[in-house]
Amino acid sequence: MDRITDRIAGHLGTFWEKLMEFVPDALIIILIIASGFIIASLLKRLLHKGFRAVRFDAWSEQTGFTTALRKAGFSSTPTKFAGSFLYWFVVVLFFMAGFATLGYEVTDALVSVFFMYLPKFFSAVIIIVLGYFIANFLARAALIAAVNAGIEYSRLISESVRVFLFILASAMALEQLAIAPKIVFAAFAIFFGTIGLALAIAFGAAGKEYAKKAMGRLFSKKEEDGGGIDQL
Amino acid sequence: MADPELGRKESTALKGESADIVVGIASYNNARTIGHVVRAVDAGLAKYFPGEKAIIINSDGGSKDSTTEAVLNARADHKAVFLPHRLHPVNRITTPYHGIPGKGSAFRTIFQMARDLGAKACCVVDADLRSITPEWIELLLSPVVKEGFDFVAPLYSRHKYDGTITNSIIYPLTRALYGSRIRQPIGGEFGFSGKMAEFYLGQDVWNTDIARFGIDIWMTTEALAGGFNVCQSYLGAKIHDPKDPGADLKDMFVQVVGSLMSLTEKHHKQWLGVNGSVEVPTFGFKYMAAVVPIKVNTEGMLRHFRIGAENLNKLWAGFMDGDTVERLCSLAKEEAPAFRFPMETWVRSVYDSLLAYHHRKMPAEHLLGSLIPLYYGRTASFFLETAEMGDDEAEGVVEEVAAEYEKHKGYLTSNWQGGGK
Repeated sequence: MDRITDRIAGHLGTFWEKLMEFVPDALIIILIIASGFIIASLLKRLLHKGFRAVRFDAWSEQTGFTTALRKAGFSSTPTKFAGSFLYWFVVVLFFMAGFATLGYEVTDALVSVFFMYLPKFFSAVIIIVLGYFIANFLARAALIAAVNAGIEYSRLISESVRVFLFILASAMALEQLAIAPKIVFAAFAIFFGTIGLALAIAFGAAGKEYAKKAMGRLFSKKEEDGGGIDQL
Repeated sequence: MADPELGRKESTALKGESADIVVGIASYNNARTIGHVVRAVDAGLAKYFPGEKAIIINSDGGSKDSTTEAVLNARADHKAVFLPHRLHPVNRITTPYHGIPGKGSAFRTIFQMARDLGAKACCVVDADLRSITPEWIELLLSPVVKEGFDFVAPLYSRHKYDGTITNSIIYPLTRALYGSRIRQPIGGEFGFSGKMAEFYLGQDVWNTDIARFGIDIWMTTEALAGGFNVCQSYLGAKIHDPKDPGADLKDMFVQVVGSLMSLTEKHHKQWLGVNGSVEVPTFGFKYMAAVVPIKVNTEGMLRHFRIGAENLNKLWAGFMDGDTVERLCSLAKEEAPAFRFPMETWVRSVYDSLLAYHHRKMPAEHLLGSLIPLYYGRTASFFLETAEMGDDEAEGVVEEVAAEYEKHKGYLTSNWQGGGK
């Protein structure tokens, strides 16, 4: 009986010791996370003030960023969206930093994976945002150029430019994130290969007669040239 | 007479030389016509300014033909036009200009040389003119030499369908903004005082698009906004060397209207308080000059306008009043003989574009590009409105458009500050 009691007491003692070891760590984690919330909140407020000062919402409206957000299902203003993004990013950052203080292998591995993934994540975000703006800019330029060239289906050309560039940017972002790179590559190759083939067939079908005449002219010219040399 | 010693000298080599009058000719591959221009200038100087020391400066953009030789070898038969013997021979200089290729850089060299020579009066004429006479030199220089004006704009007789960009936007907008009725702000031939040349030279624009193109509207606008004494001289008909038929009005529209918009922004303090407009002193004897008739493709222009209305209406809605866009879309459904682009709609479209340019609602090249179908629509309407009119009657319609710009200027001024529409 004594042995049982001793063993229970021993385990309880160990548990207590472990608990006593963990409590300060837990308190530190809670402290870090709590300060994360506070800092995130402060940064969010600062960002709101800064963006209002530079009239970020008006600029977003002009550039089409607001429309893009609405289309993506975000009803808040671009400033609020950016503020929320920053807030939760800082919170997650402090969460991970808190766990890193535990020093366990599992948490260490998780934290290092998280921090190693961050540059890729930001690169992907930058690629998508830049891709969106470049696609919009070039689509508008194509629309105006096509209209001024007197092309009736200008909008179709413009939308094709926009979709093509956005798909290109999305594929680049997915590759950056290393999400199913083989599938992305294959899908990309199939998609653009199909477009290329369709265009080639369309061009070939439409230009069949012209190509026939051009080839005819080329060969008849060669024959004439040859004839000229023979005569000499 | 050409002076072989002075020919081909650069501005830096002019120290010690002086001249009362400088006539500048910017050129690039104009061998066919520049000889005639130089002869007319030479005769004009001999006939109307025999006592003044004058120099003809040809600022050349690296012509591949014999333009410079044509300048130096052109001989005016003074006896044939009953000219007295000159006290001072008219020297000629042909020099390549430096900097960004373009008419603006060529003019900069002329301004520099005018300053170095201490010229009191200057004028510039195009190198491809076929209708220039010695009288043009008198008309461009006398207001400066005899009347003390700083800037002389040209006034021409033109076919009713000629100068559509000037008629629909450049003249009426310049008039509404600065309150002076300069009929040909981008005419190409100008007279100006030595003081004005020095002022132009002092402006920091020589590494901008002004050096490339837009120098004409820049010179006129700077003279108006700078408070200089401005007048215009009637020169008769202006006939150019035939232009490259492949050259596109669209590029010219973007360049000239773009320059006008940037100048409007620069000089907003000068024009915000201006209401109405006044005639500027006009010199020269107006006569019935034969003008070259111009063929127009109204249906083609309407087609461009319709394509624009169908494809660009959402883009226009980004910077134009909703009612205006709606009106433009309904206009696109109208058929040719009855098609009329109301002046008010046109003026509001131009003012909205100007506001969008100022408030950076869109990149400038997109904004200007999207305005081209509207310009086609308004021009087609002008052709249809004036189809049965003579040149003078058609001029009345241009004046009505100008009055419309003045009438709606309040819309522009009230939306200029703040975020606009």
